[in-house]
Amino acid sequence: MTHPPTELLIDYLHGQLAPDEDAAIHAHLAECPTCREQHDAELHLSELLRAHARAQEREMPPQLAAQIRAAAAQRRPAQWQWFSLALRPIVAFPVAAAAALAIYFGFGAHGLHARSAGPATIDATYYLEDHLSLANSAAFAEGAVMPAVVATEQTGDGQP
Amino acid sequence: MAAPRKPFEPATPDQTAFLERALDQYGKATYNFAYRLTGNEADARDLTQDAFIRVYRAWRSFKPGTSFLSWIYRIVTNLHRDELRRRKGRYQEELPDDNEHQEYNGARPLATQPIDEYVESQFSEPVSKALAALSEEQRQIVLLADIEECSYQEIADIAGCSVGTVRSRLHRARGQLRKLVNRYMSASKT
Repeated sequence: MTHPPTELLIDYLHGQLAPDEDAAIHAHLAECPTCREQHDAELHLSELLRAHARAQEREMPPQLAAQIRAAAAQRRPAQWQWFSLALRPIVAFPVAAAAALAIYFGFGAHGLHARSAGPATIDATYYLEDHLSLANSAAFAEGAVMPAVVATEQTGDGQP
Repeated sequence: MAAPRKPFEPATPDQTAFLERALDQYGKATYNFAYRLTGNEADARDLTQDAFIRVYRAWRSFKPGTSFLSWIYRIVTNLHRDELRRRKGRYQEELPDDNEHQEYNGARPLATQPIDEYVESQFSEPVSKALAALSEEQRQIVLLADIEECSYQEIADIAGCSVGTVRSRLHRARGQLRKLVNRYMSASKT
């Protein structure tokens, strides 16, 4: 194996190589002092960083945990979360059903239901006028009420 | 050093209990990650608090069995990036005052091993300065790869980039870091 570049040694150090690549580098380091020295320099840097981090490690301030709990207890869901909650089936279906019933009964009380259902009411004067015209001895006299049956049989221009 | 990335199974559907378990198991690791990212206690506290509030609000979106630490690290990373954009400033290059050995509301550095104390006394300042001199993205990658010991794929998920980008950033960051540490160590000896 040729001398691996520093980048490959860094990947090897972090255990991020494929098994065959890892094995090849491992074998090469066993035989190449130059590359082993370069590897050890990278290892030393990693160890320095970890030792520094360990030395600097801190416990979480106790007041911080209490502040987080207090903030969470006061936290209300964001507006979008209320919207999300409202869209859940367990909430949305009953609300939609209630809205549909309200619309159904609400419009029905104002006549929509009445217009769309049941037979039309009978205008009694229509039949009285028709009967009167039929009983009239001068049915076609001027001013006489034209029977509805005759009126509907005329042509469009009104002529018999 | 790296916090264990065990699967996190919410034992209860209760939101508050979820937060309590998260604080108990991952509060310290998250706080330390935030501190290393920001470089000062005040920002670390704010960042940690904001992250856990996000966790509390988005608790239902966490997939049980996946790495909680990767999830909250991603939240911390995004919040920190947003804050930096908001401030439109650069990361402080000077050492923050609270980087020295002092009590801070009871949270003292935990160096207890002799070797760590030696490293702390000899190398702490050069390493801190070198990390502070890196770009935000480079520092984040180095923290996740070398201190948190995340895989490249985990880092890619946290940082929101490809594995190839993680690799190239880490290589550049380490090269930069090595030069800076040597420079600051040489300067501290003179």
